[in-house]
Amino acid sequence: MSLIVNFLTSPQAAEFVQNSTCQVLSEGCLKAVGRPTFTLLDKTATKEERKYSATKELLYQSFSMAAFFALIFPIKRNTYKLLKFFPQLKDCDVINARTAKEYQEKLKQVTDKNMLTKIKGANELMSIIASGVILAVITPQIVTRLVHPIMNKINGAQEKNKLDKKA
Amino acid sequence: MKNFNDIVDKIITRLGTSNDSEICTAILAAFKLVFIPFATMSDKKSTKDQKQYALTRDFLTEGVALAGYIGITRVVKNSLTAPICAKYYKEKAKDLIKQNKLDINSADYKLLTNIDKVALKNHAMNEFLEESAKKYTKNQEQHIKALEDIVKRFPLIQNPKDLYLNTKKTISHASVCVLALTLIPFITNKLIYVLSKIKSQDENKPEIKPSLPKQTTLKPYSMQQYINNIKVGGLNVFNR
Repeated sequence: MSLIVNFLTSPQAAEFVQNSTCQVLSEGCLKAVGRPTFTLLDKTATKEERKYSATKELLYQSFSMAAFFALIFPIKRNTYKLLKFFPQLKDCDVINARTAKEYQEKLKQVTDKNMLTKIKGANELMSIIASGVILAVITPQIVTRLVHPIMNKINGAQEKNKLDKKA
Repeated sequence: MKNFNDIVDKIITRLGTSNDSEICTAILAAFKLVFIPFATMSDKKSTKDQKQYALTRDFLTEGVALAGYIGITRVVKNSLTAPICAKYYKEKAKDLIKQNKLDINSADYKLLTNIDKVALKNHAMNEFLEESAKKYTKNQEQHIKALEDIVKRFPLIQNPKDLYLNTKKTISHASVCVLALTLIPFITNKLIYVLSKIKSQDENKPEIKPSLPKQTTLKPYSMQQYINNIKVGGLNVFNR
């Protein structure tokens, strides 16, 4: 009990869960385990239907996490370039930064707490939108094309095993 | 346009102040609710049954996720944060007693072990409320001031406001994780079971056929009865 309370009240844990990248990655990894397992446990569908749905889920979750991990960090490094599209930040010099280094330097000079909050929020919003595009638009289209060749390979390997056992 | 800018302003201020897990995960669930079933529909190689099952599952899962992240997470964090903070202060008080820094009969110990949870919540959340919506009674204010005095003397203990806000964020994420791992797929399975029951009931229902008029069976008619029923000009001639 003490361990759980210590974890839940820890400032480090709170800092970690504030980052939308950490939120998406931890949630996605848990979904990759939970969803296909429960799909396979569902007795209302036929074996073929369950197999298709579970393979699709597992592929989707693992592929989306890999794609997310590969794409989100370069995107996050460049979100400062889009800050100029937020009219709320037009009075802030940060939007004129041309390089990531210049952005970091200008960010240090910002003393207005409210403005800092808005800059952080704008960065998080762009990160969430980018995550949405990666996870919901790009990855499902790729997974839909991948699911059948992978399922055929799995089925082929299973049949080969059965034939070997019979022989 | 002004309204749109106001909405964006509210969103970025909220995300900058407290980017709770349920906001991000709920937005992503909303995205997926539209795009994943769309991708499943575009799969031309799967059979009709496979597609139908996967489509139902995708749609239900993301729908349940969206509702769960917004509804359940909010309830969980609102109801659990203050009790966990109170538990934290209780454990810290026990630690201080073990270290002989606090007396068991002191007022500090009594205060740390009897935290007013409502006061703690109001104290932390008032920052985000408008002046008219702020809730804080005189007693609650005194209680929190006394707690802050203790915290100043023992720097290893977190101050009430930071503690409440940090715990709220972590509980929000913990709730999202539990929902993602078990509760959402479990609820989806149950919903699919209910839907399949309804579907099978519809399929097994007997077709209602239009009722035909009952066929009357003719009784054997004797010659005598036939003669008796012969009418001439409406009158029974032979049956007198």
